[in-house]
Amino acid sequence: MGPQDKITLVTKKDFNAIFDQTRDRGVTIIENSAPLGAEFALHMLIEYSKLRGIPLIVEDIFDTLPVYLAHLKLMGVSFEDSDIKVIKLGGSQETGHVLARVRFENNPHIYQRKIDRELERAIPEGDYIYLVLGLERLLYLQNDARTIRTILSSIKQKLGDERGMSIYLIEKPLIKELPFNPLALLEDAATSVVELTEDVGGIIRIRLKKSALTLLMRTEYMLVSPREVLRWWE
Amino acid sequence: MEWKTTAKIVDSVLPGETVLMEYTTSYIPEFLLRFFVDYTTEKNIPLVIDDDFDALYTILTNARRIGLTIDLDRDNVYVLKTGGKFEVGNVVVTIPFHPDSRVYLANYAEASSKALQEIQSPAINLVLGLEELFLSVNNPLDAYQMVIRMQKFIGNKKRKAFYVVNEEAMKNLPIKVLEELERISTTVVRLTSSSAGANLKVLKSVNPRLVGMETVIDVGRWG
Repeated sequence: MGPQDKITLVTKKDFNAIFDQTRDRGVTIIENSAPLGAEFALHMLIEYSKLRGIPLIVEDIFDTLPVYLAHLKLMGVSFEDSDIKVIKLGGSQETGHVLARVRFENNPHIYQRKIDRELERAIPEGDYIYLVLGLERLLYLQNDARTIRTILSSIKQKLGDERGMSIYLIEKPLIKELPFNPLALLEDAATSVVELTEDVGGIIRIRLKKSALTLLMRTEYMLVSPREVLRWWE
Repeated sequence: MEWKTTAKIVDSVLPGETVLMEYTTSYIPEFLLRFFVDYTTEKNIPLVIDDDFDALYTILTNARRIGLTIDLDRDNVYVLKTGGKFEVGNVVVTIPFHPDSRVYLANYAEASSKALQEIQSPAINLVLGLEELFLSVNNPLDAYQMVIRMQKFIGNKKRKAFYVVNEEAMKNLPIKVLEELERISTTVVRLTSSSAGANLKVLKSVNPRLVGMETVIDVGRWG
């Protein structure tokens, strides 16, 4: 085994250190294929946001956030609405602290411009984390080049933003089934790409597919137990 | 950084060649840009970058974020910009994109020939952002007109061209052209991500000295 094959079981402290390291790093794409992998990522981000006092702003496309939050609540996790600031695109189910509602429409440029405006308004003085949820639902409805180009241009816009970091959490099994799957195009524009897959016994395997952390940690893989790290089901 | 063999491969590419460099998601575009900037600086030859839809900005910004230095601020770098809104490097001409390929290609031909008249040859021509260029065409006919234009550049001894494309992205476009690009290219190279940086393998070449060649681009700890 070379150093790149070394696998580390990460703790919550490790995660906080990793987030601290990558906070100024443009746009990250998290591609999830693990059962409850998205819930895990969302929960980690909420915890980190509270720990460091960095606001978490979620772009909730077609009620994706309520799905994950309902799952987490059934697993015994509790939140305050104020923990998550929300800009909604389409959908009707409101969770978190909803700052703005943007109507979905045929022309992606129009709703994207409105979202950008709401985000500018929501961005605080200091640092922030912007999390986009439900891109696969948007692409299910608008699976065309114009929409992809709008998303790509929005990612490129965020790359140079020094104020905060942006994360796109994408469910890979869903986006993979689309007639036109733009995942590789999105990966190409992003600063970092991380994959979550299922390992044995409820463990999630994290692959640093495109990440400066690979150099830093001398490994491409990490394992995490959500049960232990986030005290799920306790 | 260690890429002597890669430099030798680029030396061996003949003027007039079109080289397709395929990679999968990684920092390979960042490493390649650094390589070509260093290579052309060292040899004192011009570097002409086709920057389609802010690909150059994306690569430079991500390189900065991961701590990889790329210095475009020197003489003999020329950027031909198509579409996009972030101008980086020495932009000598901006070509508005038009979804009708005939219009776009006519604009491109006129603007680029004017801008490149004075440049000493053979130059290295690095083409970035083809994925989004082909994403933006309306139909297969427009895509083909684009390919045929590229094909006409083959044999033009004023440049050695290197088209850098994400293989997965090209394969998943609504209009597929990767295999056609592989056919028209005189050399095809595949780059895969490795712990050191990237592995490079020549899959096809009109130059028998290059066929089957393999090497490593070692970026160390970004060098």
